[in-house]
Amino acid sequence: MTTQQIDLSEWTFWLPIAFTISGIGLFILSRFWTRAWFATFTLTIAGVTALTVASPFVGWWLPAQGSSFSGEVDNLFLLIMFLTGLFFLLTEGLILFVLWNHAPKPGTAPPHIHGDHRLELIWTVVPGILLALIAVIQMPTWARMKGLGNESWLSARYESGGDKADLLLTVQGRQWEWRVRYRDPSAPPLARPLEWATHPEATDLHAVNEVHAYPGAKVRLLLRTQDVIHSFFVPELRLKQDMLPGRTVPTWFIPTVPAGTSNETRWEIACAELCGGNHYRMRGHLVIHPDKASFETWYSTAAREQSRRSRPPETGPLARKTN
Amino acid sequence: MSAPVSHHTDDHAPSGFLSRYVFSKDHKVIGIQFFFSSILFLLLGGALALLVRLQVGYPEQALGLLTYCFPFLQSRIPAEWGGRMSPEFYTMLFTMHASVMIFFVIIPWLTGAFGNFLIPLMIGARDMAFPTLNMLSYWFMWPAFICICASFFVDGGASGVGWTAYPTLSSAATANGDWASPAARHAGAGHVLWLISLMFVGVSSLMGSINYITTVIHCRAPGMSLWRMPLTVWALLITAILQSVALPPLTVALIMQLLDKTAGTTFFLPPGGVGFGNWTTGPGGGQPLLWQHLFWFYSHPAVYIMILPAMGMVSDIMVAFCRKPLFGYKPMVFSMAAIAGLGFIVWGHHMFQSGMDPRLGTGFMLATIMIALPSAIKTFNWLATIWGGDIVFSSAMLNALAFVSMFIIGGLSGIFMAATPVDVVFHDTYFIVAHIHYVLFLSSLFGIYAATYYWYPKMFGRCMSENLGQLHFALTFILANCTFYPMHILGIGGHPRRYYDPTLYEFLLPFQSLNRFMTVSAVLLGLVQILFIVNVFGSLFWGKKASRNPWNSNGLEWDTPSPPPHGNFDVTPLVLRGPYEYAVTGPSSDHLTQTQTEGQQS
Repeated sequence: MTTQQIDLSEWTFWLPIAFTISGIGLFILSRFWTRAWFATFTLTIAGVTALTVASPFVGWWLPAQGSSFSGEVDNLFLLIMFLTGLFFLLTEGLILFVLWNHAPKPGTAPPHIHGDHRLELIWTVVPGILLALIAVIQMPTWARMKGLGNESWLSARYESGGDKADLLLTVQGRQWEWRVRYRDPSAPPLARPLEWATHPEATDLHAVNEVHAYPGAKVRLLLRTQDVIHSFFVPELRLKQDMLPGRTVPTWFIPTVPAGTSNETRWEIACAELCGGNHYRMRGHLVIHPDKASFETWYSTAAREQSRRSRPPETGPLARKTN
Repeated sequence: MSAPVSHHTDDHAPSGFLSRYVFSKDHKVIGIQFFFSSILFLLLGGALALLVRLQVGYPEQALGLLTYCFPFLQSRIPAEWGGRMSPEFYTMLFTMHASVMIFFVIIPWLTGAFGNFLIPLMIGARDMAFPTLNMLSYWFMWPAFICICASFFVDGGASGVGWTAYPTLSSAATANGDWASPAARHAGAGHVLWLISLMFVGVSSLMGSINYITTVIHCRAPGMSLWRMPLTVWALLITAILQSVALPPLTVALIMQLLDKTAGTTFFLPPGGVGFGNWTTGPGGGQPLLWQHLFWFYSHPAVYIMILPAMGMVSDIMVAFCRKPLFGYKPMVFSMAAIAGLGFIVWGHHMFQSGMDPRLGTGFMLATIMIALPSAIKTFNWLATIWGGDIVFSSAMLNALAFVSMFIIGGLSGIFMAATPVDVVFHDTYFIVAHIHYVLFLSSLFGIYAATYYWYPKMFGRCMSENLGQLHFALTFILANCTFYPMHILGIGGHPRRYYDPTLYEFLLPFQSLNRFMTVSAVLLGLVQILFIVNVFGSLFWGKKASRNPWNSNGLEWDTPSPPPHGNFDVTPLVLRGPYEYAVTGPSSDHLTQTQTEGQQS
């Protein structure tokens, strides 16, 4: 509780003040030492670089990897990080060099140069090729994440004999909860799964704010919303998809957990598109059962419970904060 | 190429106080009017930002003393939150922070203040092509000022649906004719005023941009060919073209949303309607996604509207303070034109996760990543410009150097979001917030500060205090990095934007200490800006008197008295060369102004 209020002794409070004081110090220094400005820029650039490099070691980094494509996305991220990092160090290094070296040798004037075609050609072509490469290398992953490949279980219409999703479910957003509906996994495949999103069947299982799945399951999500735009975001899955009023937006994931996980894994579902005052409270959970068998146990229990009550559950209470 | 001789655009000499300072048609007075209103709105936008940071950093902290200092806050905070701001109030804060900063600070300051003040002076014109239109472009800001300020006080408060105002959160309306929104408390009358206000800003900018284009094309002094124009003028010309093409779709979109909100149309309501609780709208005839296309078709070019003028001004400031010609003048112009051109086909990168066809995403990614190329070319040209220069560490130069070094960060972080798979992680997280602030605060605003220190002597005839300016720079540079850089780290961790209380989420708890660090830095950063305000207003009275050319620069604007009289130039200048002849053996110094003949004393 106390950490959520102002605590004067924490580093988060005194460090910015220390930086302010050193800024005043550097300014005073600059009155009689021109390279104080070199120092100001160097310390700042070094500071942000150090924070970036140190962050993974103190737990300020990407969430755990939890889907079939999360590793791939992270690698693309790291590739861009590496290339932009090189460019960052190069250009900032040049600026710092100029600041250090701030005047031509005594007795000489700055060169009178208006440009250099060869140099300009180099710094146009090299970044151009690198950038094009960055763009092209993203494309296969993007196509796969968005289901543009030729996997039959992701097509809008199952081919006969085609592969079918292990779990088909709709998640409908509304202010401020996620309403989940599963299609009975034992039911026959649908010719047009997207239509099922708006045409519920009696055997569907309903739930609120919880999505259950198991490792390796091919989960097909049909996203809908009742009121405003929401966005289904599970950081560990590297999955984020807006829900659009009036449309069914399909997406998918295959959850993965570290080998040997014997308990349920619970990840948080967050809303990533402003959806009103309680946007921040639109919290759900993705529950990954340790294996298919335990998922099926959970599913049949829940389905039995639902048929006993013979009606879908009422609106669940908002996920209230527990202190 | 010979430029047309400037015609008489200054035959509107002021005859009294009102026509001299209020309803003035003099481009310099209009520029200064924009300048001061932007500063006032900077204070408002900054205060809103600090309240946002206070909430994110310390979600359970009661506002306490603040509510006593500002009774306005007290009346807006419902009692059930125990002195804390409510989540709805919080949505209003970040919405209005963004709206004020974008539409009332950065754009008017860059294009309104500097555009107006500098274009005629730098091209040797006696005034703008259409002085009356120019006056109107400022006075059309006033309905916008009034609407946006009034919106804080109407029922429901100012708009709280994000500055992007996505339907159906923003556009859903009840059938009974009042403006209260079924979707959000802050989407009622305040949001209607927001829409009207932005429409006026748009009309104002449109008038300005038409005027700028005409002036640059038509009113250049003899000898001022296009390829002798300073980069500032090129940047403002390209920006004006961007504005004149991008603003009409935004205005149309705003009108459509206003009609949805008030007249029962359904441009952004899907055929099935939407439902809130037990209440359902009627069937609609449109699509919520349409708004996003229209909005970003303006608002992505708007990002370049907010950076290109700063790029141009920083280039001109840098050469003056490293006493070297600009490196690669034409590549600089062409890359600005390329940014502007490509800027029109990249809007979809804001919509990768919106439900738009993912195949479109691939094309938008390619265009977006390639737009980094002209930015990279510009960066290398700036580096080559300062390379080997004789650097004068003035306030203006320091801010310009900060512009370049921070634009590198803002530009590079853009590549992450342009890459579609990586954007899945970063979309709508703090990574985006970091990126936009590196571009708009640490680049545009530093560019604005640099330009203010540089042209202030020309605007007011007095110099700003260098001591105060450099202290302000050192602290702003350090604290702005403390405030905004850690946002990248938050974004990598998946921290969503616009969360009232991130501590609700387990995966965000490790990041909360960084949030507190940023909040404390932000408050200090806010306080440091007082130095700038004091400098701007204090120097009006106590600043050192400025000569015609205090920085030994080459541009035509330095050929006039400080401040220039009505009509700007005693005699129409005859331009002999481009503005970047530094490091030459001039008659009395190391540079040749645009009008000096080789043997003439400066």
